[in-house]
Amino acid sequence: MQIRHVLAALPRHKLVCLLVVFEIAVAFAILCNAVFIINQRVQQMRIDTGITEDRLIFVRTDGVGADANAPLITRNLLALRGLAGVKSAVAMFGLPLENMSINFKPWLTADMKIRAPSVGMVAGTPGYLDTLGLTVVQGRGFTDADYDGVDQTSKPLSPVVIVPRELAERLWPGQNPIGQKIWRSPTRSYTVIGVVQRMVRGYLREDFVPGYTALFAIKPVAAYSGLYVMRVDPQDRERLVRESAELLMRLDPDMLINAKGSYADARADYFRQDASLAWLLLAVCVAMLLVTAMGIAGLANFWVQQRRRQIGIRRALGATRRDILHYFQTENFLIVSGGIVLGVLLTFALNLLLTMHYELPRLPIVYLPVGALALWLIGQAAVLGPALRASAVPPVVATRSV
Amino acid sequence: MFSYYLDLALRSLRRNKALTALMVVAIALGIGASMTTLTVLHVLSGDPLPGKSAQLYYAQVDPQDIKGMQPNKEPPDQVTLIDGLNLLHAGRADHQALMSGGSVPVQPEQSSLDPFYVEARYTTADFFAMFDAPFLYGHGWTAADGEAKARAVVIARSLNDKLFGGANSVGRTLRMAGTSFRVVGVLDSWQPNPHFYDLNTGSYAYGEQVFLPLQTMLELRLDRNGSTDCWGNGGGGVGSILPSDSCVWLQFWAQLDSPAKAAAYKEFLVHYSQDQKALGRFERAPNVRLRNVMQWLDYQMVVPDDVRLQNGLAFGFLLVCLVNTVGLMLAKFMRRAGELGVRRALGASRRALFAQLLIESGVVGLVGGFGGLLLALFGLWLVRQRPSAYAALAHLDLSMLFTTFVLAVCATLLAGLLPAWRACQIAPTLQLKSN
Repeated sequence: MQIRHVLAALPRHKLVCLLVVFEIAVAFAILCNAVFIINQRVQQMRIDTGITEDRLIFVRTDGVGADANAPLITRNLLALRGLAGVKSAVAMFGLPLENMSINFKPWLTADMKIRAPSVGMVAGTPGYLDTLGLTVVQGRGFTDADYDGVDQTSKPLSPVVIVPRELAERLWPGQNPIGQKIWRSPTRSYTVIGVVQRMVRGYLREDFVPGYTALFAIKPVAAYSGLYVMRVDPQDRERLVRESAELLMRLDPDMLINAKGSYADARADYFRQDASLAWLLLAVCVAMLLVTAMGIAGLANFWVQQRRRQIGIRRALGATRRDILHYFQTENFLIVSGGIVLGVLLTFALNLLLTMHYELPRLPIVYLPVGALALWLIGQAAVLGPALRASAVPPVVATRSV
Repeated sequence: MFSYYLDLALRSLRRNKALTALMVVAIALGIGASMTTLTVLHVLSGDPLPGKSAQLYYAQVDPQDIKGMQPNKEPPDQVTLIDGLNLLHAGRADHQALMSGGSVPVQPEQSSLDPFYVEARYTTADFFAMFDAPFLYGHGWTAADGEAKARAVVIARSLNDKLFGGANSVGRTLRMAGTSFRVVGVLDSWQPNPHFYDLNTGSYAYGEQVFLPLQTMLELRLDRNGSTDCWGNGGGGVGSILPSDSCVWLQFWAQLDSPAKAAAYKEFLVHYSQDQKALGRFERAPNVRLRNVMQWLDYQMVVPDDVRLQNGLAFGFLLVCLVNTVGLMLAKFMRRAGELGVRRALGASRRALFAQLLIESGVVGLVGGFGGLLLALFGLWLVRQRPSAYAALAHLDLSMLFTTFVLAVCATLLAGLLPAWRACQIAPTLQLKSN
């Protein structure tokens, strides 16, 4: 009954109604896509690196320079392990999300015919798996005999490698990965001796799978002497970052320290850009919904003023306050619903545009009902004030001329 | 007439303050958001060397082995050392430079300063003339100096201020990476944005402090930054190990003063590739590219995706704000049908009414635009607080200031057009009768 009244009256404001429908449609499309992008970034920022992040600190230096200085690395590691609270210390390359990575595409056969997707290189001195908190879930870990130097092109000489489960399943689906081989050049192959649950590479790119890494065993060598990683208790992190940097500076006053901190800081740094984009999108969404709500409220207010006489007549003819209230609420519901219907089309169009330009996945359908619910609620909240004012119009208005 | 309409507009706007405020705020928010992001986009997609960029070309050849070859695939983004040196020594362009980036430790003579790292550019003699780098003191090194692996260095003004107190330091000695270099020149403040000649080291707000001859760097094996792509047996590039000949890690730029010369140079690159294939070094059919600065920046998609995304979103928001304003304005004008009817009946033409209503919407646009400008200034301040490298560049220039106002007034006039036209449509008698 109510809906028929509302529908009958709507064409009297055809243009304004269409405008509001369009506005809601655009807002809906932007809202759904923006929330989707925010969610994507948040998912990215939540990535599991596979290491025990809260127990790690690092100091990044300029390294020891020439190969002849490699014994200095061992000296530095011994000294770092001597600090009270340092459980273990290693020199390594390829800490997850450190904003740099060496990537390679290994071959899976000796004739170099089958090539794997890009893999991030991780390498460290004895004990680095334990320091990072990586546990071997299949096969074995590195033994002291496995650690060796690097060749002229900085590839590890040690012929063994450990891979994360994700990579093992991709390269040898349904097979036992232990004993499988990968080639980094025709003459340099590595045999898989173990599998770890997960390890993420140093730098994420859209075309790289984050969890595809290969872990190598190296002795202290000049080529990978820049990054010291230590395992400590969470409460000691701040103190030990300071003390370990001071210690290294004391051991070698010419050493340059490029960066230091807890792993948590490094990780936050890595995602700072994503975080700021997410906040910006959120701010725009909130502003947009606010503007839309104020627009709806302003317009509804206008219509109430314009229809005072009609409201009065309806009241005089027996309509209750509740009827008038429902009338405006139903009207708003219908307009917003129209906007949502058009908005669904716009949302898909916008998502298509974004997937073409920004390598964004398809928008999951679940965003549509959630977005619709949000706009319905906002519409109802915006119209409530004007609708209450309308229901307060006394019937006597009908008898007065303007 | 204009002042009368203006007076009418102000009266009408004052009559319904909340509604007017709503329209102004909506416009201001939309303009503020879109101008903030547009300014960032404008700054980031600017021409780093206006007037010169069209003559500077980036050369690409394809030295990769036959494995993984696909038709129409782009050649590598950089060149190998051997190809770079070959092109350099061929000397077919008006100017040419081969370069790569890195960082070197500076060991100041003053004991009060600790050693520190500076960003370095390893390049060849023509670099400074090609890129119009302004010298404060001295000049660059000569090609002969370069070939002789001279221990010569050109330093940036900021480093000169730090080490030599801003004095003319030409002829002074600078110790870097355990070697003594002679300062031959000091550059005045110079930081092209984007950092077009090498995008691997960061695209924005990146400036080298020292410039060294490439040949000297090769001899001393100084540290390199940037990207290295290898194929086949290629590798290296860590620490003091130079990348092998099947790795690309250098940039080659050529200055070609006319389009005819550029065409001839491209031809030369094809011939060069054919020669190298005949020699057995190249395995693929000639696959060359020669892009000028703006084409290169475009191809490299140097403007971050996030910035484009933000800009698109902000303009979507502006659209919502404008539609909102159209709706409110329409409702408002229609409600004044009676008043407009009286004016029509008293002899005002439709055109006069239309002008009056447009002035009213123009006023809203102007005030909204001003609010938007303030919001944009605030927004840019916020952007500058962000951690990205380009953040510091986000400033409103004169052209963007002008654009803001044009955008605001045009947007609101456009928004006022439909409501004004609608309000002028109905016959005066009807409007008088309706109440």
